[in-house]
Amino acid sequence: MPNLNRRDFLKALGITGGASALSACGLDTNMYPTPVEKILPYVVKPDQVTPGTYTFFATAVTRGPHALPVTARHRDGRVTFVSANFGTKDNKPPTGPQVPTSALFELQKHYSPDRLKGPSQGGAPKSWDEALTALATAVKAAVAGGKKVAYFGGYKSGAIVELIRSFTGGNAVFWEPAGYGPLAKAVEGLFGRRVLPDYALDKATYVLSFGAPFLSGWGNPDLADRFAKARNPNIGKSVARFALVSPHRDQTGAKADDFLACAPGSEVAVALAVARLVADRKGAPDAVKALIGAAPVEDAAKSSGLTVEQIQGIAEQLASGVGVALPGGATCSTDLAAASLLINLAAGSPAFSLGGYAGPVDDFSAVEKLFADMSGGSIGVLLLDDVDPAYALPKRIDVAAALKAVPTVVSLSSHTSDTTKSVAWALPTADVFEDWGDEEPTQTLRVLRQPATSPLYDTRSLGDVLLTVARSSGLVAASGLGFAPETWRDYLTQSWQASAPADVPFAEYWERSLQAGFAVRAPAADPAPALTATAWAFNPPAPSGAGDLFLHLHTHPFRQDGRYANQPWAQEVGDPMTGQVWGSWLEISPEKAEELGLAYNDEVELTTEAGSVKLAVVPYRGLRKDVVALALGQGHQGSGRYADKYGVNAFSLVPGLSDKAGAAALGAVKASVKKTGAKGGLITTFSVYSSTDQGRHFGAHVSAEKLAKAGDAESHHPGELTGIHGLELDSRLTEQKITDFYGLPDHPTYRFGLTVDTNACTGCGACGVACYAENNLPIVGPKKVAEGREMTWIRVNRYWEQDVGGQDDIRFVPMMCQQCGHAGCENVCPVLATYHNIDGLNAMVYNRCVGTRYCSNACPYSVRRFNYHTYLWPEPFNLQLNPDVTTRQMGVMEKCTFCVQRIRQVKSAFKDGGNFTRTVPSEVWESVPACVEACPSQALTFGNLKDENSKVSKAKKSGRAYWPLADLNTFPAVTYLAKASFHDDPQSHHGGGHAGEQGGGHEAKAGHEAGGAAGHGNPAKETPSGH
Amino acid sequence: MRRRHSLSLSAALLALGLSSGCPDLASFPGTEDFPRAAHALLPEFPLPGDTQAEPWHVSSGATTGIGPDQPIAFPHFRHVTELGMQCEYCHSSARKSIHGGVPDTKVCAGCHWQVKKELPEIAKITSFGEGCAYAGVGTLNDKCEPIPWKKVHDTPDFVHFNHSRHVQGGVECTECHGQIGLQGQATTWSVVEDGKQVDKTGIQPGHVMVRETTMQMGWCLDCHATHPSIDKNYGDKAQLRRAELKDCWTCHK
Repeated sequence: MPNLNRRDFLKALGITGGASALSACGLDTNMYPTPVEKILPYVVKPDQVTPGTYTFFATAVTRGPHALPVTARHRDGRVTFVSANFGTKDNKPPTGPQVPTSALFELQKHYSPDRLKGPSQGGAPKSWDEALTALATAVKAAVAGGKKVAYFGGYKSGAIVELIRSFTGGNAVFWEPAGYGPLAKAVEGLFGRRVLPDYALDKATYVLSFGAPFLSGWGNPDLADRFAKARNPNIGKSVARFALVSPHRDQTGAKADDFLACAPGSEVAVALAVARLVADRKGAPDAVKALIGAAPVEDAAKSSGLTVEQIQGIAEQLASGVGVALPGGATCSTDLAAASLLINLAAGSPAFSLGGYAGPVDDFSAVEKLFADMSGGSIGVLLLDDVDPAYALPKRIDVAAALKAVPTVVSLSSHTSDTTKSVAWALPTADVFEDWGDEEPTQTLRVLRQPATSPLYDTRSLGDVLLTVARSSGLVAASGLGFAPETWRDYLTQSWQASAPADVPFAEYWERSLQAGFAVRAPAADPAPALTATAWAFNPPAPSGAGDLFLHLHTHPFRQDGRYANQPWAQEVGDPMTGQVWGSWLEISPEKAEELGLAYNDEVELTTEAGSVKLAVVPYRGLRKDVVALALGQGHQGSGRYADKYGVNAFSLVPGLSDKAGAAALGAVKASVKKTGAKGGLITTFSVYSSTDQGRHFGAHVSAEKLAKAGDAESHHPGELTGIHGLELDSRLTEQKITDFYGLPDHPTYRFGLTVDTNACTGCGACGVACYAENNLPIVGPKKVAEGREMTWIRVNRYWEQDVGGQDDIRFVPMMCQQCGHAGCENVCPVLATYHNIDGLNAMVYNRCVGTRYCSNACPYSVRRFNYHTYLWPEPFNLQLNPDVTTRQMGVMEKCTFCVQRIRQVKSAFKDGGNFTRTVPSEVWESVPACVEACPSQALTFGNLKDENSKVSKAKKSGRAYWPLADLNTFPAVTYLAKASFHDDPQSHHGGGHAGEQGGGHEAKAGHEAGGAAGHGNPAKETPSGH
Repeated sequence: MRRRHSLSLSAALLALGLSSGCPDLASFPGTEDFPRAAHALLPEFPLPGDTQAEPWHVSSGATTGIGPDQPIAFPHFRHVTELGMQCEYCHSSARKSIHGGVPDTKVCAGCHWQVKKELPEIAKITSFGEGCAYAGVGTLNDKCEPIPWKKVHDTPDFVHFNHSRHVQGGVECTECHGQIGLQGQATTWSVVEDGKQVDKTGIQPGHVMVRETTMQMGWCLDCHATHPSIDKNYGDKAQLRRAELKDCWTCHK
C-alpha cells in the first residue's frame, strides 16, 4: 500500500466497502480516485474577456410596455443573473433600479430544457437554409396567389415593429390575452390617440384602482417603485391611501387600505358616480361632465352593493389631494377603462398623462378578424411569435381549423407552446439574451437590448429571418428602411440613426445609449390629455351564462397570462396570497364555502357556459360571497415539462364575448360550483408558519394618522410608534452589557444589517426569485414541497389581520435568516458548522455540516433549510448556476448568507490597487445582496450597522422599527419597519398602552407561539390558508 | 458538488441496469423533471470517456511529487528558468481574477507558429487548434479545440480560492505551486517493455507538472496565520486581518 495517512486509509476503506456492492454490476471500482478534471482554456481569448470575472451588459429582457433597463450579469460565456441597472452618477435611468420577477423568469427561460434547439418541419429537424428557402417560397407563392402574409404576436415595440409591418404589409396583430386592448381603445375613443396612459403614482396622495394589478406585472414595472415612493413616510409627506374597488383582492389589492368589494360588472357604475362627484366638486369642464353623464350615486350604490357614503368617501378623498384612478385588470371592459380615465380628467390629476406606451396594442376584434381571414383562406403565410392561440383563445374560435386553412404556419418562438404542434415550421428565434433590439415602454424612454451571451442553440434573430426572407422572396416595403440593411443589427442602428438627436454625432449617441442601456428623448406628442370625444355610450357587457356565482379571472403575479408557466421558479415560489404552488386553485369566500359545505382542498366542478373544470378550493377572505376567483396561466398542453401537468386552463372557461369595442374577452362570466366529494391536490408553502400574526409581532402596523403627526424621524425611541419593545436593547449587545455563557461577538469593522420596510413590501416575490437565481437553490418539485422541503431562503410571510372594526389588514413580511447577534443555532451546532463571523454574519459552512439539524430546531424564525437529497439541475439549467456559490449535497443545512459571495467580491474589489486597510464606504453596500438589488419597491436596505451614518443605520432608527420575537434576545441584524395603516390604532387592538407607558412590554405575549412556527420537518399541510 | 459526474453516473447505471439485470437505480430518485442524485453515499465514479482516473490522484488532495499525463509535455523549466519568462506573461489573469488563467492556444502559437515548430511536442499545439483563425496559424474549420490540460492543483469545488487576492497581496506563485521553474526537465528513466528494461530520455510522463504542496486545509490555515505579507499589508490592523483570515467563509461559501 502506498504512503497513506490515517485519514486516507479510512477513506479508502469506506469506499472500497461501498464500491464492492456495485462491482458485481460491471463497474471496476477497486479504487476510488477523485476524477481528474480538465482545464479547457480558450483557443483564442477575446481581448476584453478575463476568465472568472463579471461583465455587465446593459440591456432589456422584458418586452413592450413591460420593458425596463436592466443589466445581464455575464461570466465565462453565460448569463447567470439579471441585475438592476443603477446607471452612472450623471446618467441614471428614469426608472427605479429593480429586477422584477418577470426579468428573472426570462433568465430561467433562456436555460429552459424545453427550448427549441434548431429549425424543424413537422417535428423533423431541418437546416436554417432549408427553412428560410421554404419560407421564402411560401411567401412568394402567397404574394403571387394574392394572399396575405400575416403576423400574430405578443406586445413588442421599437424597430422590430416597423420591420414586421413592412414584411407583412401591415397585416400584423399584436395582442396578449390579458392585455391592454380595452385601455388603449378607451384612450383612443376619448383622446383620439392610441397610446397607454402613464401614471405618476409617486405624485399621488390617493390611488383608486378598479383591479389593475399594477404591483404584479400590469403596466411598467416602475409603477411599483413609484407607488412605494407615494407611500414612503420617510420622504417628508403623508402616506398615500390606496382604495381598491373590485370583487376580488389580489396581491396588488393586498396593499389596499380600503377594499370595497363591489358586485362584478358594477365597477363602471361606481367609477362614473365617482367621476361625477369629483367633476362637480372640482368644477370640471362641461365636456367632461357631458361624457360622464348624470351617474347618480344612489344607482351606483344599489348595483354595486357599496354604500352611498363609501362612494362619496372615495370621491372626497380623491378630489381633496392628488388623486389618480387606474382601470381594471384582466377583466377590464372598455367602458371601465374609459370611466377610470374620466375620473382622472374630472380630477385634473397631475399624476395622469398620455405619455405611456405607444407601441401597437391590438383589440380582441383584430384577433377575431385575423382568424376569420385565416379560415376564409385569404392568408397564405402566418407567422406566430410569442403568442399561444391554442392555449389562450376562447373555444368559440376554432384555432385548429383556422391554422389548418393557412398553407404555411411558422412559429418563431424560442420555446414550444400549445400551438407549436399544429404549425408546419418551428423556427426558433434568438431570445432576449441573445438578440439585438429596442423597446419603448413610454414615449420618452427607449431601452436598448444587446446580446449578453452567444446563442445557446441554433437560433437566429427574428429581424435577420425577416430580412433574409424578404430579400430572397422579393418583397418590397411600402416605406421606412425597407429590407436594405444587411443584418438586423444594421437595421436597428439605422432606425436609431433616423431618430437620433441632431446635436450629437450619431456614433457617440449610439455608444452612449448602448453603454447605458437606455436613452431618454422628448415625447413626439404633448402627453397632456386633450379630450376629443363628445359622447361615450356606457353600456358594459351583461354577464353571460347561468349559475349563482361570478367567475373572476386574474393574472398570476408570477406566471402572468401563462407565459412563465414553464419556469420552475414561477411554479415553486409560493403564490403571495395563498402560498399555492404547482397547480391551480379556486378562491371562494369562507361564507360561501361554509354554505356549500366546502373546506380547504375539497374538489369542486366549476362550470361556465364555455366549459367545466375540476379543481380544489381555497377559502379566501378577499372576495365577495357571490364571486369565485381563478388565476390565469396554468393547464398548458405542449408548453413544456413544468407547465403541462399542473392546474387548469382558465381560458377554457371563457365564452369569449366581446363588448362593443371587441375587448372584454375575460370579464363577466357566470359560473356554478358543485362539490365532487373528492379531495384536491393543493400544495401550499403557508403552513410552516401561521397565516395570522397571532400577536407575535412578526408583522406590525402603525397608525398612518399618528405617523403623519409624529413623522418618521430618527428622534423617536424604538417601540414608541409600534408599541413593540425589544429593539431598545440593541445597545446592550454593541456595548457588551449582557452576560452570556458563550461570550459576545465583536465586530471591529463591519456588522452587516438589513432593514425590511413592510410598508413598502408588496409581496411580489422578486426577492425570493432573485435568491433562487443567485444562490443556486434547487427546485424540489410538488411532492417535496408538500413534504415541507422547499429550499427557499426567503419566504414572504403573509399575515391577514383584522382590526377592531373588522377591516382586513394584510401585511407582507419577508423572512430570511436574521443573522442574529446572539443566535440560537450557533450554540447547538456540535461541529461548529455555523458560527458568528467577524462581520456579524451567521456563517454556514456546508462542508463542515454533518446534518444534525439541531440548528433548524433552535431557530425561532424557521429560516433554515435542510437538503434531504442531492438535487440536480436538468441540463441546461446547470449553466445558470452561480460559480461563486457551492451547490449543496444531501445531508447539509443551508440558509440565507446575506449573499456573502457578493460581500466578499465588494471587499476584494476595494483591495484591488493595493489599499488593503480601507473600510468599504457605506454607500457601496446599499444594494449588495441579490434580494435588495431585485426589490422593485426599495423595501430592503442593506449596509454596515457599525457606521452610524449608513442608510441602514438611519433606517433602523425609524420610529417604525421593530424586531420580531425580540424577547428571545436574538439581537437580529434584520430590522423590520412597521406598515402604515389607516385603520384603527394597533395599540388599542393589542391592548397595550401608549409608548413610554408600557415599561417592560418586551416581555409580553410574543414568542410563546413561535415554537410551533419553528417546526420544520413535518408540517400539517391541511391547514386552511385563506384566513 | 461534482454534479456532472453524478448526472452521468445515473445515466450509466441506467444503461447497466438494463443490460445486466441489476437494479435500475436511476429510477429511484423520482420523476425526471426533478432529478436528484441516485444515492449520495455512493462515491461519484469517473466514467469512461468522461474523466480519467489516475493513481497519482488517489487521495483527494495530499499526493505530491507525481502528476497526470498531460496532452503536451510542456517544459516549465525551459520557459521559466532557461528563458527567464515571467509567470504572468502566460498566466495573465492571476492578478485580476479568481483564476490564475491557463493561456489560450493563441498565446502558445504566438511564438510557436515559427519558433521550434519542427519539434513533435510543439506541433501538437497547433494540432488541437489547426482550424482556428488566429493570426498566422491556420484557417477556420471544424478542428478548433482547446488543449485539454489536466488539473494538477485542484481544490475541491467547495473551496473558492481567489488568485488575485494572493498575488496582489504579495504571495509568490512558488509558495503554493512549488518550484515550477524546475519542473518539466528532461531526465532519463527506465521502463519494462516486453520483459526487457528500456531506458528512456525526455520528460517523464507523470512529471510534466506535479504538485509540491499538499494544498490541504491545515496548510492553507498555517499560511493565513503566519504569512509575512499580512503584517506588511495591514500594519497595525494585522491582528484583525488574521482573525478575518481564520473565518471559514474566507474560502467556503
